[in-house]
Amino acid sequence: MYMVPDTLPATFPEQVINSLMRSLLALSSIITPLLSALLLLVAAGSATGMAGNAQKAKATANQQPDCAERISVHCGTVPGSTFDSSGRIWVVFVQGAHLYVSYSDNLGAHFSVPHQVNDQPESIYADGENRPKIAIGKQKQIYLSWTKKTEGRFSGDVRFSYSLDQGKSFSSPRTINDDRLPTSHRFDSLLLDQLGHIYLVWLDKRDRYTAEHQNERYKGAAAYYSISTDGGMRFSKNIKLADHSCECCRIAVSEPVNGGAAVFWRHVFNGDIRDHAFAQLSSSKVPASIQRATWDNWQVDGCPHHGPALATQANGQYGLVWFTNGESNKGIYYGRFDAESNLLRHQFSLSRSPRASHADLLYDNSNQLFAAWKYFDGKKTSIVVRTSLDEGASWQPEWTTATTEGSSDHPFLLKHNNATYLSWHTASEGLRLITISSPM
Amino acid sequence: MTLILLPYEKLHAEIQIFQTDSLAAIEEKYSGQPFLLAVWSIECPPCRDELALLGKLKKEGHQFNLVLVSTDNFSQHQSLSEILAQHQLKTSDNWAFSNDNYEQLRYLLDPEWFGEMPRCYFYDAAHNRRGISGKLKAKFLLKWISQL
Repeated sequence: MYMVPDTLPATFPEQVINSLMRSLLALSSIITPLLSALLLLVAAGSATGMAGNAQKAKATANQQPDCAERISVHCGTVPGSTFDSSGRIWVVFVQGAHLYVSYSDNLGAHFSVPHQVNDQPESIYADGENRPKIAIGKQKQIYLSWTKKTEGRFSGDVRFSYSLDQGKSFSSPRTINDDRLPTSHRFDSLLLDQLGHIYLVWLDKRDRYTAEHQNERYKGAAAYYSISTDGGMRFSKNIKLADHSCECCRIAVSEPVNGGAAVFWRHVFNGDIRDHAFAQLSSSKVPASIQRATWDNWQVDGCPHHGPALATQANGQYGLVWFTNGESNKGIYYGRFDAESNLLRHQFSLSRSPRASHADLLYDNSNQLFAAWKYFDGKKTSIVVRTSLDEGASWQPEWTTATTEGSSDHPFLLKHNNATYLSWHTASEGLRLITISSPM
Repeated sequence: MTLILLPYEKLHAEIQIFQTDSLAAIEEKYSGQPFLLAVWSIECPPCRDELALLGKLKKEGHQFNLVLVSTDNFSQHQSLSEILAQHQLKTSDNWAFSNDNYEQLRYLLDPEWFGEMPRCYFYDAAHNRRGISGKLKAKFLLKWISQL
């Protein structure tokens, strides 16, 4: 891979085509009886030229590249970023039917030419809650997981690939779920611990599939996991973590102080209560025990599509952030969870606004706690940050660290050495790595 | 240069693009009438159950104005159309979010809504509306229909 300057997208060909489609649909309602088929001529290289003056003017003004011909972290979707020990940022993203990996040695100012991971095209889930993951090992091994769309309603397989040559080549993608059922194995999360063990955890409907084929009801999905202790060469058989998880919220993972994987997810408790559960996974203690971590009593037979985040404190406790919409508790909350005593302390409302969403959480190397979330004010979307110097017992006033006027991805917090960064992909600006520095 | 042949039938999904002025247009269309506006998404399993229930009630001949708004991008209208057809809802008043800026459209639909789905708005004749999150029960819907 070599470094090239990477510029940002604004005018996407699919938007151009969609614009054209809308015009055709409007036209078709007028001349419906006359049309049996519509022939569209699309010149791939001159698609912008067909899109009307507004699109053309926008493209010219911003001097944007044509994403139809360009593979880029900016043109792709749902980028996931992580630092390696040298400060290089590695990014995995989806573009078309492929997964790509790229890196930056200058905090995202320039990215390397992306390397394609899957030689064979496959349909990849790429939304805010269900997106590819990346982890970097001590010898710069690259580990990737994602969900492949398979035939059928809400169906998918958890996929895994790795690179041992810093992204020059990747192993053939393999499917981790071992039941071979045509059902949902999705919303994968990936964690690499200090021992080099790889944990994959995902939402799985194999038990629901079986129940429904016996005309029995099964609430929600289940959470399953698998562990590799040999750098991804082999994975354990699939292990059930819990029955009755919520079906479409991301699973939060964080490494406990002594290795393994801590997992925090939205669960369906008795009575359709969609609060959160917590478990600590290890390769030596199977299965893990489940704890209820949040108690908002949000009763809803619905789909929040709004998963939590998790961060490990130096003292072994955990910082949690989550969304709820219960009778009294609404919005984004923080809490400090002690897994040993099963107690949640310092529950704090970070925002009660319906326009706040998808919070992330991070402890920096000096144990300062950062929470960041999206906020839409009716016109633009901002990333709001709050910090705590006493492990969530009290919080500093919030401030805005980035803004966009178009559509945007979820925000993610990263750290390297003593600095904290926001990784945020927006339609107008592409992927940005923004240093978070307190205004105080 | 690429030639793409799009058969007319595939384009002719009974789905309109939900844009910033669409809620006002819907409310205008049903002026003086009660209606149910149900919000759904492809990636929402409970929404499918709700679509099935609404389709069943329509098929049974229950009379009520139904507007279905998908928060998925209009670019997915082919998939949306297939799902609606599965539930005999293809000819309902169907909409899908414009491809740009989900947040803004969600805000315009209801600034107090947190985004969970399914989400339904029961409009009375004066267009006072009540928002309910989560899957509706048949009994609840039938009671509402009986009071129309």
